[in-house]
Amino acid sequence: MITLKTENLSKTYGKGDTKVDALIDANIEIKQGEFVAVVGPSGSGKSTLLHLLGGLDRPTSGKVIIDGTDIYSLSEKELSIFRRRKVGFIFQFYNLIPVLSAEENITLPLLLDRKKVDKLYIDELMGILGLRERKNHFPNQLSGGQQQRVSIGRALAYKPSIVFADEPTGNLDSKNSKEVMELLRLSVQKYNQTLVVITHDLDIASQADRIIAIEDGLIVKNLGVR
Amino acid sequence: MKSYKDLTLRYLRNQLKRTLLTILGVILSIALITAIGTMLESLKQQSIEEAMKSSGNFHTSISGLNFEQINVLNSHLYVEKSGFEVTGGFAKTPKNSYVRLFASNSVYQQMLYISLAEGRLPQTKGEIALEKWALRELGEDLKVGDSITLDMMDVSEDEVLDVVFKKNPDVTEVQNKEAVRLELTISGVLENNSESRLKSIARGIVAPELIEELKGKSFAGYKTYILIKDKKAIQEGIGEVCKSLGMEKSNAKDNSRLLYMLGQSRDKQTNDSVLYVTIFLTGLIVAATAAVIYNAFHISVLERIKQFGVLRAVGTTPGQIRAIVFGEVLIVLLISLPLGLLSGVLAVKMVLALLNLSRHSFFIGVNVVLSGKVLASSALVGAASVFLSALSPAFLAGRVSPIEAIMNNRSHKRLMKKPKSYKLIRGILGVEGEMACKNLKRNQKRFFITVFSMCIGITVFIVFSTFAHYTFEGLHGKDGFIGDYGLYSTKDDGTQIYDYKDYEAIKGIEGIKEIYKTSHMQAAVTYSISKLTDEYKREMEHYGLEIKPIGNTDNLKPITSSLLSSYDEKGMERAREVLQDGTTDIEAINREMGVLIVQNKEINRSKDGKQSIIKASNLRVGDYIYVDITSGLMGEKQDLNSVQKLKVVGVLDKLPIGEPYPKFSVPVVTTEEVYRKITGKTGISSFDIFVEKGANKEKIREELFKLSEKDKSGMLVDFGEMAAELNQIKLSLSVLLYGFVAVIALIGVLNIINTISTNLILRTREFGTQRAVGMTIGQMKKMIVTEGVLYGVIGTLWGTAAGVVLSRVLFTLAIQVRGMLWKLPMDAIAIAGIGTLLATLLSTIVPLKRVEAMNIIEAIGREE
Amino acid sequence: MKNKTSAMKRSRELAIWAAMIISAISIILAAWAGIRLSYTKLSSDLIARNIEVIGGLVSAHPELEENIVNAFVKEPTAEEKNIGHSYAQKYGYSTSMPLKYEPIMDRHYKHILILCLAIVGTGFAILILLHYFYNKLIQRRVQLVAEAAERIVEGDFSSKLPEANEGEFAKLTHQFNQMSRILEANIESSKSERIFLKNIISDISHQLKTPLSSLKIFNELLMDSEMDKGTQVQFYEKSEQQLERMEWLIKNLLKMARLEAGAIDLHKEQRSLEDTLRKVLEGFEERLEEKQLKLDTCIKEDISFSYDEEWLSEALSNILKNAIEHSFVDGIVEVRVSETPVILRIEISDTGEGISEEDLLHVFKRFYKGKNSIDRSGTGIGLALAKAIVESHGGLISARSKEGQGSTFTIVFPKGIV
Repeated sequence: MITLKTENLSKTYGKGDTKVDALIDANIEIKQGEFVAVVGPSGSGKSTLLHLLGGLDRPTSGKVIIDGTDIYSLSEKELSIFRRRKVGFIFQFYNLIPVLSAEENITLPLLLDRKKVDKLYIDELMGILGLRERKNHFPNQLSGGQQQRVSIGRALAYKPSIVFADEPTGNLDSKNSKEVMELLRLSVQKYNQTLVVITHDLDIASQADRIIAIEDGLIVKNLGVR
Repeated sequence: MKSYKDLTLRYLRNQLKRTLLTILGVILSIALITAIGTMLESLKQQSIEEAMKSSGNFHTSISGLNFEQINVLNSHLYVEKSGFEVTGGFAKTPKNSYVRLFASNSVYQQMLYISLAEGRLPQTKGEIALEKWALRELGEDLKVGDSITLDMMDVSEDEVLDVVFKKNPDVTEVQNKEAVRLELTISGVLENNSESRLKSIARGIVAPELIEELKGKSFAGYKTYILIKDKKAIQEGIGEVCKSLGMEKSNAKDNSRLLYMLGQSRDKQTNDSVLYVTIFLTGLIVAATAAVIYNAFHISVLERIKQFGVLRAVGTTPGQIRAIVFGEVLIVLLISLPLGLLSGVLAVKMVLALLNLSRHSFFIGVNVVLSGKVLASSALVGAASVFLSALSPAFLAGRVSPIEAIMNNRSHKRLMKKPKSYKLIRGILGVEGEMACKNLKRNQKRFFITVFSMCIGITVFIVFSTFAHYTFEGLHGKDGFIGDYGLYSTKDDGTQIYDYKDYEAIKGIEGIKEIYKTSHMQAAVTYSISKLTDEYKREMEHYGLEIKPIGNTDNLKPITSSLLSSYDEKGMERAREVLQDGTTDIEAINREMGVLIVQNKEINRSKDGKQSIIKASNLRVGDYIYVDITSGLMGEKQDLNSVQKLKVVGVLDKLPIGEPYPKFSVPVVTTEEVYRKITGKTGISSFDIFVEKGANKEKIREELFKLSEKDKSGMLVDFGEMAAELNQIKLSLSVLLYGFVAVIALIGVLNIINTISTNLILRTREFGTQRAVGMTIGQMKKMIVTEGVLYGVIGTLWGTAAGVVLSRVLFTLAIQVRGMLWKLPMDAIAIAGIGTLLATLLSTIVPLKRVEAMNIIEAIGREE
Repeated sequence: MKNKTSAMKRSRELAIWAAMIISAISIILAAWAGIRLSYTKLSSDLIARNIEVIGGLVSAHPELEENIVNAFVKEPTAEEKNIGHSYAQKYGYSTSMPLKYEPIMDRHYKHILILCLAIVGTGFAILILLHYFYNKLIQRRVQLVAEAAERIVEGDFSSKLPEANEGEFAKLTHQFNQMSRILEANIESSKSERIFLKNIISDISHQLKTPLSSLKIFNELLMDSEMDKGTQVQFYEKSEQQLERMEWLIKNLLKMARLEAGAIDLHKEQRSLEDTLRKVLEGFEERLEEKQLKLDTCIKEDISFSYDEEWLSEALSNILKNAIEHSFVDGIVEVRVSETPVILRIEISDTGEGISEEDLLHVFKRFYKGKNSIDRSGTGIGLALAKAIVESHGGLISARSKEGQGSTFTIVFPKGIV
C-alpha cells in the first residue's frame, strides 16, 4: 500500500541570477512500512525533498500525497494539524523545546491536539528509548544521544504513518549514532511505520529497504525492493 | 503538563530575567497612566471643591427676582436647593473701605461657605455679622456684642469700586444720595475673604427682615443661587428653571468655574484645550508604553524563532503559537496590572504627601481620589496597549516557518547585497568601528526596532520636558510677577509720585525682603516699516490698522502709545531671564544710551480668534528706534528730528514686570539713568514689594498705606498670600511634572537597556567565533561599544526629530493659545542625547561581562 | 475539492455562530428598547395623572399651592408617608391592592407583559431554529462518517474523510481514516499473503519433491533385492540423509508457521545470555572443527534479560549456522555481546564470502537464495526464522556485508521492554 507519493515535485529558490533549482520533478512512491534512505552530497536537494515530503515547506510545483491527501492543498493551519497527526520529524540538532522535560517534549504533539495522553503507550515508547529514568530531565541535562532519543519519542508519540529523519545521527559520535539508529528502526518496526531518513552514513543507508540517491536536485537512483 | 498552553508559563519561567524586566516595564507604564489619571482626578475633585469654596457651591444664579419667585424656585422640580441673598446697600468705614449690607437664608450661607469666626449670624433686625478685617476698619477693639452705627447708602457695587480704586482721584467718597442710618449690634464675626479684601468691600450680614422692612415686600433685588438636581444635565435644568420663571436662559449667570470643573459648561469649547493636552500626553505615554511592551515581546519572540519553528514542525498551528505568545502577555498583564494600579496610586499618594510638607503647597487639601472610573480606564488602556502591542509579535511568531527549525543559518535566503566597505569609518574608528557599522546594517528589522525603541523614549521625554517648560513659562507669564504688596499710582502719564526717600523708607520697614522700583510712562515708539513681520502686517490689516509712514520717513506711524519703563538692578535681573538677544548689563545700556524692547505681541489671531503670541518685528541688537515722550508722533507730528533716537541693545521675550505682552504697542525698557536722560524725570512710579516670611504684615501694610496716601493718586495693593502661593505652585508643579518626566525617562532607559543588551546576548555565538579568529577582548569591547554608541546617536537623531515635531504639535494644540512663543527645546534634546548615550553604554556592561567570561569553545558550540 | 467542502463546512459552522451572536445582541437591544419605551409611556401617563390631581387640588385650595406641588416634586418625610398610608387605607387604597384597581398600571401591565412574552418568544424561536440548524450540521457530519463506513464495507477504500482540522470531529475522522487505512493494509497484506502462500506451497512442494522423489527411487532400488549389501547400505544412508533433510525442512517450516501465526507462546524467563550462547556454541564445535574455523567470542558477562531460551537458541543457531556455512576454511567466526544503557546487542560475524548489495536487501526473506549462492543445501528459511524470532522478542535484526570480506548479523534488543 502506498503511503506517500509525489507528482513532479519541484522547488526553486530565488529569482533571476540567484535562482537555484533545489529539486526537479521528483516522482517517488513510498509504501507503508518501508524504510527509505535518501542519500546525496550536501546541497543536492535531499533536505529540500524531505521538507517537502513532510509538509514543512511549500513546493514551487507538483504535489505530495500522503494517505490520499494532497497536503499542499491544505491551509497553513490544516497543514500544521496534518503534520501533528500524520508525520513525525527527527532533526539533526534534536530541536527539543528547552523549557519542557523529556516526557513533555515527547507528549507535545498530543497536547497540541488536546488529545488524552495514552500513558501506557508513552511509557512503552520511553522504555524502548531508554528514557524512563530521564523523563523529568530537561534537554540541557541530557546528552546528545539522549536528546535524539527524546526527539524520536516525540516523532512517534502520535503514532504517525511516516517518520522523517534529517541526518538523525549527524551530530552524534559513532557509538551513539549506532544506538540511535537501532532504536529508531526498532520503534518504527514495532509500530509498523514508514521511515524516511536522510543520511550521509552508507552503513545506515545499506540497512534501508530502498535508497533514493539525489544529485543537483535530480533523483539519480531509486533502488529498492518489495 | 496538561496542555500545550502550559508552555507559556514555562517560557516565562525560563526567561525569568526578561519576564521580570517586561513586567517591570508594564508596571511602570500602567502606574504612570494610573498616576496621571488619579492625579488629574484628584486635582479635579480638589478643583471642584476649591471652586465650590471660592465661587460657591451652586450651579447658577439669577438676579432681580422678588420674594415670591424665590419661594417658587424652592419647590421647583429641577432644583435641588436654592439659596438667596438681597443687598440693602453700602456703608463707608472711617478708612477707605466699605461694608456691604445684605441678608440671606441658610442655604445661601451653606452654598457660599460663610463661616463664623465667632458669635452667630443675625437673628433679629438689629443685628449684624461682620467680616473680621472690617472690625478694625470700623473702630478700635470692636467685638461681638458691641454696637455700631452704619450709614447705608443705596448705591451699586461698581460705583463703590470706582471710588476704592480711584478711577477719578478727585472723588474720594461715594456720592451719597440718601443714607439710612442703622444702629446695629455685632452678633458674629465672619472669616476673611480674599476677594472682599482686595475690593476693600467687607461683608456685613443682616437679617432678611431688616431688608424686607427697608425695601418692601415686592422688592426685586433678590438674587437666587441654584443647585440643579440632575448633576448630569445641569444646563437642561437651568433652561427648565428659566422657562418656569418666564425668562431667557441668558439671564441666569452660571457659576462657570464650578460648571467648567464639572464638565457642564454652557460653552463646551472652553474644555477643549485642556482635553486635547490630556489626550495628547496620555496618548504619548500609552504610545511609549506600547513601544516598551512591543519591544519586550518582539525580542522575546525573535529569541525563540527557532523554537517556534520546531513547534510548527511538530504540528503547532499558527493560531496555537499565537495563543502561547498571548498567554505570556496575559500572565504578564495579570501580574502587572494590579501592581501597576497600586503603585500608581501609591506614587501619587507619596508625591502628594511629600509636596504637602510645605504649608503653601498647591496641593494642600488635595485628597487622593480613588475613582473607579480612573482605575478602570487606566486598567483598560494599559491592557489594551499591552494586547495591541503584543499583536504584531504574536503574529510574527505565528508566521514562523517550520523550516526555521531545521535551518541553522537563517539568513541563507536573504543574500547580502553588495558588500560595502566603510572606508571613512574604518579610518576614524578602525576595523572595530567598521564591524560595528556592518552589524547595524545586517538585520534591518532589528535595527529598526532598536532605533525605534530608543526614539520613543527620547521623543516622549522631549515632549514632556517641553510641556513642563511651557507650563512654567505660563506661570511666569501674566501673573508671574506678584509681590506681596504693590505701591502704584493710578495715573500713567509719567507722574512719579514716589521718590528715593520713599524707597529708603520702605527699605527701612522691618520685614521687607525685596523692592523693585520702576518708573514708567506712555510714549510713542516707532521704527522702520521694513522691520515689521508679514504676519503682524496681516493682523494689523485685519484689525483695520493703517500701516502708514511718518512724513517722508519709512518709520511706522505709531498706532497706540507704548510703555516706556525704567528698571533698577533687580528689575534688570528679571529682564535677563527673558532676554532673547543682547544684554541687560546696566553699564552697557548706560554707555550706549540703549534700550531693551519687547517685540512679541499677544493678539486675538484673525484666523481663529484665539489669543496667541506673534512676533511683530524683526528688530535686532544694533537697530535704532525712535521714542517720543510727548506722544506727538501719534498725532500730527511728522518730524523725527525732535524725538529720541535710541539704540536697541537687547530684545526681551516679554516684560518681566507687569503685563507681559502688549497688543499693538512696543514696550521699551531701560535703566534708571537712561530713563532720566530721556524723560528728565527723577522720581519713581511704583514699587513692588516682597516681604520676609513671618513678617508682621499688618504693620507693613499700615506703613505702606501711609506712603500711598501721600498723593491722591497713590494706591496700595495687597496681594495677600498670592505671592507665596504662586511660588509653591511652581515648586509643586515642577516636582509633579518632572516626576512624570523622570518616570518616562526611566521607562525609556529600561527600554534601551532591554533592546541593546538582548541584541548583544543573542549574538554570543558570533562573538565566540570572532574571538576564535583572533579578536582581542579589547577589540571586541570597542566594537560593541561603538555599535551601542552608533545606535545611541542614530536613535537620538530620530528621537529628537520626532520629539521636536510632536512638541510643536502639542504647542500648537494647547500652549500657543495661552500665549507663548515657540522655542527649540535644546536643553531637553541635550539631556535626552546624553542620557541615551549613557543608557546605551550601561546596557553594554552585562553583555560585555559575558563576552569577557565567555568560553570560546562553548560559545561556538552553543546551539542558538 | 475535498478542501473546498471542508472550508464550506467550516463557514457554515461560523455562520451559525455568527447568527447566534447577532440574534442574542438584537434580542437584548430589542428588550432594552421595548422596556424603555413602555416605561416612558407609563411614566408620562403617571405624570399626566399627577398633573390632573395637582390641578384639582390647587383649584380647590389655592392657598396650599406650595404644599401640594411640593408633595409631588420633593421627597416626602417618613411621617408624611405614614399618614398617607393610613388615610388611603381607609378607602382600601393600598400598595397591596390588585393591579386591576389601578387603571394606569393595569393598562401598562398588559402592554409590558405582551412585550416581554414577545421578546422571550422570539428569542426561543431563534434559539430553536439555530439549534435545528446546528443539529442538522452534526447530523450531516455523522452521515458523512456513516457513508464512508458503508463504502469501506463495500471494499472501497479510496475516499477519505476530511481530517486536517482541530476539534473532536476532525479527531474522529482522523481515527476513522486511520482505521480504514489499517483495514485496507490488512486486506492487502492478506491478499499478498495468499499469493505468497501459493508460492510457498509450490516452493515447499518443490523442496519436498526432490528428496521425496529421491527416496522413491532409493526405495525402488532397494526393493530390487539383487543389490549387494554394500550398495544397499549406501542407499540407506542416502535415504537417511534425505529423510533428515525433509524432517528438518518440515520442522522449520512448522516452526515458522507457528511463529508467524502467533501460535506459539514464548516462555520468557530472566536468564543469562552468556549461558544460552555457550550452550548454542557447544553444539557447533564439531562443525567449526570440520571447517577449521576459529571462534572468537567476546561476550559480556552478567547480561541477563527475559527471553525464551529455546526459541532464541534456535535463532542464534540459525545465524551461526549460516555464518559457518558461508565461511571459507580457516576463517574466523566472531560472536560478541555488548550492551549500552539502552540496548543489548549480539553481533555474529564471519569472514566468509559475504553477501552482495542486492542480496542483502532480501537476506531475511523466506526461501530467498542468493542469486549466485554457492550453497545448495540451504533452504532459505533459517534467517527468516531467526528474524521472526528476534522480532517476536521485540528486537531488531540486521545484516551488513561486504562481498568477499564477510558479513555481520546484528541482533538488537531494547532493554526497556524485554
